[in-house]
Amino acid sequence: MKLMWKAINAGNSFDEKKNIEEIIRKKHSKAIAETLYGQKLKCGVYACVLVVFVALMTYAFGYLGLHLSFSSIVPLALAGLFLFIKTILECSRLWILVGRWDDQPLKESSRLFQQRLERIKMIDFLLALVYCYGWAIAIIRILIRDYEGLKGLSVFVVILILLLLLIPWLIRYQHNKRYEDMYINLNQSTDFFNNYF
Amino acid sequence: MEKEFIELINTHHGILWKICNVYFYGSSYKEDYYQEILIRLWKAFPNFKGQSTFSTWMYRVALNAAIDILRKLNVRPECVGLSGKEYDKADNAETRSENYDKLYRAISTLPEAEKAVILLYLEEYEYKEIATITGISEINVGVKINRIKSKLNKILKNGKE
Repeated sequence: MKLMWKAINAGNSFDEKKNIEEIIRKKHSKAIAETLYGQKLKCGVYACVLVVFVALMTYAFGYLGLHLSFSSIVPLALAGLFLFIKTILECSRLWILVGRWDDQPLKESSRLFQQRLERIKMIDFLLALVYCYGWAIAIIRILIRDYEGLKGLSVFVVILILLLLLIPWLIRYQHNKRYEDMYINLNQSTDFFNNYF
Repeated sequence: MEKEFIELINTHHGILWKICNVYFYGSSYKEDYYQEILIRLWKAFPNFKGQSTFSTWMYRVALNAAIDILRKLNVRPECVGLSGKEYDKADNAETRSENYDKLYRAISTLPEAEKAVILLYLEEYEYKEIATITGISEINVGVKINRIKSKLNKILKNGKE
């Protein structure tokens, strides 16, 4: 096999030298730069829209003292929820893309990468948990205080609360699904680096 | 520092091509990934303190970068290898022999960590150096290599594992 390797690489002299000086001036190669730029853009757009949304809501409800019916608040809450989830998911993806441990042995870099992936999964889950369960608790409080007013909406309110309670777990499931290939490769590498005989 | 780096890369640029061929075999983005690995080598160069040879350090950084690119593009290694017309279109600039195709195609079917070990073995690195680059113990390197070799032999004979 070694002879075969030598022979095929001797035939291919790798004489196609690149302009190293020009390449190292760049921050990333074209494909990677495009991937990163696209991800940063997505993160920025979602984060900006979320900030504007939160500012508007704070202004309307906090400063102007706006009072809306429960059925009017729900679509706003869902829009906020969507923006929040999209922002954390896109930022997580960016966080995966920017990390690197080039100087480490392969075993260590695999471990660190897996660690980061797990940390991202945990942060996403906890953020969604706090946000969604916070909303669920707020809705339950409104329900207790104004039960008569919400009576007609009771089925809808129950579905909404269940949805809010489920979302953090769905995010966790989605993370595993989205990075399934990555997890397969990482587990394969970890097994390979750790197994004895 | 830049001049020194360029000189060292020019001396060892075959390493980069071999890693790209092993990890991005048949991919039309091979050139792009070559550049990305080179950029990452340049960024990591200030950390090269000469504790190992330049080629050993280069292998470590470049292998990490190649595996990292694969992970980040969320691409499974086996998806990188193309076949038939698509492959020819992507790689038509290279002079290829039947053996070249056979061996690179066989290696490209291995998982990412096994690719790194077999590449270092084929490049005649000592077990100690392979252990340093990969992080596996020296005794384990021998066992892993034997396993990968028999796996590769099977692939080369039957076309698949």
